[in-house]
Amino acid sequence: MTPARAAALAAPLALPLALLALWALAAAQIASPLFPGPGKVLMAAVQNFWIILDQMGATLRRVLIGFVLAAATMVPLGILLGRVRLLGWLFEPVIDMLATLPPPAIVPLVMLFAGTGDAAKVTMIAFAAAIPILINTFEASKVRNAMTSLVARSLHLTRWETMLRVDLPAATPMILTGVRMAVAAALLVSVTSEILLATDGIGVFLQRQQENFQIAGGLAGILAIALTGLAVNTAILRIEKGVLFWHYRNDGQS
Amino acid sequence: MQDGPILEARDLRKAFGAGAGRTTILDGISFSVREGDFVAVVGPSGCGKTTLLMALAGLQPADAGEVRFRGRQVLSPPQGLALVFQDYSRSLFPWKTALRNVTFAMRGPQGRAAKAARAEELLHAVGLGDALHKYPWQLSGGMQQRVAIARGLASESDLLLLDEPLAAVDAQTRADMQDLILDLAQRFRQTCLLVTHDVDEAVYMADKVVVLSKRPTRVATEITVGLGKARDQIATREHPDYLHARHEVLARIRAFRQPVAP
Amino acid sequence: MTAALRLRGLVSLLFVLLVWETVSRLGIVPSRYFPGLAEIAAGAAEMIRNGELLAAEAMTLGRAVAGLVLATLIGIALAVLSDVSPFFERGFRTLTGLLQPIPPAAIVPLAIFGFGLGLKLYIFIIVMVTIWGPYLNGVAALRAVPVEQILNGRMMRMTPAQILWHIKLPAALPEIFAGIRYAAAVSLIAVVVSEMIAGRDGIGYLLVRKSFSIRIPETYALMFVTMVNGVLLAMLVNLGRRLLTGWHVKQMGYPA
Ligand SMILES: Nc1ncnc2c1ncn2[C@@H]1O[C@H](COP(=O)(O)OP(=O)(O)OP(=O)(O)O)[C@@H](O)[C@H]1O
Ligand SMILES: [Mg+2]
Repeated sequence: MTPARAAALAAPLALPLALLALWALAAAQIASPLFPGPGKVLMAAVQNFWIILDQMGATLRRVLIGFVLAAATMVPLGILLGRVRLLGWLFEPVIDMLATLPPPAIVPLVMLFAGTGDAAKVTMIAFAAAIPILINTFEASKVRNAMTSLVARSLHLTRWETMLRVDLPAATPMILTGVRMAVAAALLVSVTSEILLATDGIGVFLQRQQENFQIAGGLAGILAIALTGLAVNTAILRIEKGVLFWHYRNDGQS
Repeated sequence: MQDGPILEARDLRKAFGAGAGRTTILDGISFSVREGDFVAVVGPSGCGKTTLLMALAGLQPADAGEVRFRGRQVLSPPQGLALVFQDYSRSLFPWKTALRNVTFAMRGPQGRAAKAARAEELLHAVGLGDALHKYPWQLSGGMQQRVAIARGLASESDLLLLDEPLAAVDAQTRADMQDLILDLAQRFRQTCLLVTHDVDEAVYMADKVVVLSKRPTRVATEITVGLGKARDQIATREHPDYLHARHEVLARIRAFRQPVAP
Repeated sequence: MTAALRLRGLVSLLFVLLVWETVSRLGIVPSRYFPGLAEIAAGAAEMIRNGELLAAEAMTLGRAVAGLVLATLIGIALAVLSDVSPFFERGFRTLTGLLQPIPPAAIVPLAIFGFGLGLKLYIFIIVMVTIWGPYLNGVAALRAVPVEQILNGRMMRMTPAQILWHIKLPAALPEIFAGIRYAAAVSLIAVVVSEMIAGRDGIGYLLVRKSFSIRIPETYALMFVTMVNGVLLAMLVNLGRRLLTGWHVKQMGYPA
């Protein structure tokens, strides 16, 4: 390996490693259980590995169900609002208003209706995920490319064919952006609801660690969330690039 | 200082890329500009005219050879040298009005009001007296280029470098702008080095034409145009001296053959 | 915003209120869970009268604005650093990928240890989750400044610092503001969720307390307040945008 290549490989890791070393040094200086170093966090992560995995699984299961519910209902609804002029005209400001509502703010409300069980949490998550998907689907299906519409007509496609084979693909990049925002919102609401309405999930794990002054364990839990988030984001980006190869090839940027 | 050339390029060389993809762009360019002259450098598209200007301005040094401005070697942009870029739409600041774009180039100690007055005068001179407070994106391409020229003049440089200032405007505007630039150069006693890919434009505007070859680029020939300072779109273009110079340039471009490498 | 758009917003709002009131009156859903508008307004009025709403509102908005301002400044500073040093940019990209997906709720329990329950806690959490918008947009925008503009600065013999201040930052500002607008929404989310979890004061706390004590009209009223807060914060950002990049706002409205 040439030195230049080594430097190029080191660049992404050098700064994080330097910060890690700084953290370790500071922790060794302070030597307090309330300020654990990276070694302690790693140990806590190993110790709690199965618990974290288990709790994370509970969280992700709800996120997945809530998200699927939201996507399955909001994509058609968004297309409907985007297509039927009057509905769109009437509901756009409502949607804009809902967009300004911080997703976790629905947790207390849904709790009133549905209690604190699994179904209630899934509802909250679905609601939070619904809004970005609805907005982006709506916006994407509102604008229709005049050129592709003409082409569709010249090919004698029916309305349904046009919608399915021309308009929907054209709308996917924006819808997928909504999907990415929805996943973030879903994860946030899931963790929030777990902390507030403790039963199980990674949020509960974090809360327990705090109550027992297990800072290292708490940091291990956050690390697990960070890695999960990174993995989910990377996966969505992969799927996006796979589904939307034409989009990325077209103009090089999203 | 009065005798020597104001700008001198000696054997400038420049190549881009590495390994097999390495291409020589400038292959030993030498010429000079005297104070008060209007010099045109003409060369085909992509021959390295912008690259050459970058080296002359001290923005991007050549690989070999040297540039001297007022007798001093140019290693970074020297005082007294200004440059009007080829792509005016990218070089004007969209957050400043025409007037502010011009005053921005005045780095001297004079006060705000004096700068504004001078900028106004220059914008009037380029025919933009009624667009002082317009933003670049509210102006047409030709108007934007005139703002860029006014800005070039505003820095009160000893030498103004112009990189294909008229390449992107229509033919009619182009003719008007040629006369405008000549008029301004005379009025403000501005020494100019204008780069263009248009032989007619070069001969029409310049006292001296430096003709570049295709890549790898060398000076194919230098021609002095004996037309005096006063030019006219119709009369000059029919003048025997103009036709002669134009013929000369075209003939030498055709005759110039790249010597085959041994 | 044009008059037509405003009118539509009004029509739409009236429509929602009408539907709400009708549903409530018809008793399709138990009115206990779906109180009428008058009842919600009364709930809000009561909270205003005893002072808890305004006190909480001041807390929440103050935290959101302070955190947003600080996060923006840090984000821009980091973007400048990334622009100067590609090495830093590359390393920070790794950190961004790791830190950006962490939801604010997850940080709150531990952050309470480090920062207590005061303003510091909120500032820390907001900064952790909102710098990414200004930072990422800033990096992209600084990179996209036309090279001609920078060379112009060099021809004027400006120092790198002058070029940064007079040319690169103004050029990058419109895109940075797009990041700030996004960050403003995130900042409000972070404050509300932190208040919900930290449980001492602010709109988020009030919301949890009212709903846990089954004060349903008040809960609706508070949700409406959080929406209004989103609008207020967006307006504030827009004001800053007009003030600092008024030229760009005009340019967007100018037919090319
Ligand atoms: N930074 C660079 N890296 C690699 N190649 C470059 C670079 N800058 C210029 N070139 C190449 O050098 C050649 C000359 O470019 P230059 O812009 O100087 O030409 P030009 O004569 O100004 O062309 P035009 O008339 O189109 O403005 C081109 O082939 C270009 O691709
Ligand atoms: Mg060029």
